[in-house]
Amino acid sequence: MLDSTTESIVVIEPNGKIIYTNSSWDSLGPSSSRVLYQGWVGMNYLQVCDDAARENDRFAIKAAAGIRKVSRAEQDIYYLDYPCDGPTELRWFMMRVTRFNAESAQFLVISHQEITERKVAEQQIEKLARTDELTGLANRRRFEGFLRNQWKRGARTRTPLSLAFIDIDHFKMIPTVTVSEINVLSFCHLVFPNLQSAQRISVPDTVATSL
Amino acid sequence: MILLGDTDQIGAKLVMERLVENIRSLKIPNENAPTKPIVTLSIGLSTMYPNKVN
Repeated sequence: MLDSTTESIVVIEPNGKIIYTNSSWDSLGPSSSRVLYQGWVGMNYLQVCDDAARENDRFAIKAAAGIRKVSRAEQDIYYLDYPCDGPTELRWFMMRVTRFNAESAQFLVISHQEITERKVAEQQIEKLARTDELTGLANRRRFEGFLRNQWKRGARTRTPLSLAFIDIDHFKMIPTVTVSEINVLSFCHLVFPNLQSAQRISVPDTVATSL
Repeated sequence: MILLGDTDQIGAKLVMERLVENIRSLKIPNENAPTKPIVTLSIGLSTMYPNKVN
């Protein structure tokens, strides 16, 4: 039954030792090489996470910490969304860790489910929420967040912060036959890349719009 | 609006002058404008030293 699900499932002992993997997990294989690999049982899952964590894989650091929390019963369930390099594109997975008891022994079930579609949709929504549709610049919401962060940073590092308010002179006289959206749009595409390029690379600046 | 982090008034003025010049050199027509027949910018600039109070 566990072999028929598309979720990749691995069962470990609280110390990390793998005692079961389903076929979906096996088909992922080491480093997602897509080769059927059955040498997982007996390996230590936490060890694999810790090894990756030593190479500064921040998701492995989180995963190991989450598994240990569930293992110590500090948490009943742990979720982690993490990216994984696919053959053509970045794929996203969700790891879910739960605990179960069988015959007075305790085990952890770790399942991995692909969530790329959901993640891509979420990222698009997030981008839309931060961007001005017409110009592609940061919208007011994002600007305010940036201002807050820069304000704190400036107070901490005792460095100045400059704010420029830019007005296009006689904007309404610009001869657009009819001020259709397309005309405004092409105008913005002409002007705003210059605003963007006026930013220096290494300094944290942001350009926001209030058309 | 452009927010420039870690930038004092002299630096900000420099960046804005470059921007004004860039836009002017594009010569985007705006024939009915009472000043010049191209698109120009006006910029207001303010520099602050943030602290935890203000």
